[in-house]
Amino acid sequence: MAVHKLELLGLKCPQPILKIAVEAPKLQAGDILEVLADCESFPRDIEAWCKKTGRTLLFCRDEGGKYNAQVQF
Amino acid sequence: MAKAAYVVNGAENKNIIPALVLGSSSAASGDEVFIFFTPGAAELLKPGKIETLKPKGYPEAIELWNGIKSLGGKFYLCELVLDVKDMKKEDFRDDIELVGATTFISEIEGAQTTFAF
Repeated sequence: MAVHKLELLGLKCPQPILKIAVEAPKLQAGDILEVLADCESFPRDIEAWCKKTGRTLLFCRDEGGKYNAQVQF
Repeated sequence: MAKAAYVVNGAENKNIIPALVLGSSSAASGDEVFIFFTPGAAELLKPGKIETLKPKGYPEAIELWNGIKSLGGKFYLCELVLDVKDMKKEDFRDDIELVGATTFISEIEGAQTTFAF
């Protein structure tokens, strides 16, 4: 199981989710993608993306205007 | 895989930007995306034009375009443009396909998401 990291600060909707989707094929089942983003809609968007694509959102934390999320593939 | 179809019916930002924003969200969510440009949108597809679209507050159009493309999305231009606008295939960027309306309609059969801008 590998942990991949994506830093998406400054990107606006829908770019963070787009970047995650482009990165997704590089991950194996069980891998974790850790994302740092500051787009206002990111928490709801990442939740919706995980639900639609069957991935598990482990958490999405507000860290003072930045969102730190982990998704398990 | 669900299908999402977008029609772009003009060459202004209000036509192309929503299609790219929603289209890239569809592609990112695993949908098969088709974006169909009518002849009225042909100006957008001249080489280098999308790259210049950087409307305030939005992501750059080319970032969304390339994201859709990298996720397998298709960009179609109505072939009527050749006569309507007296243009040639070579007048357009090389990552679009000239297709007939029937091809587009056939390919999007069963699409669950459709928008026109």
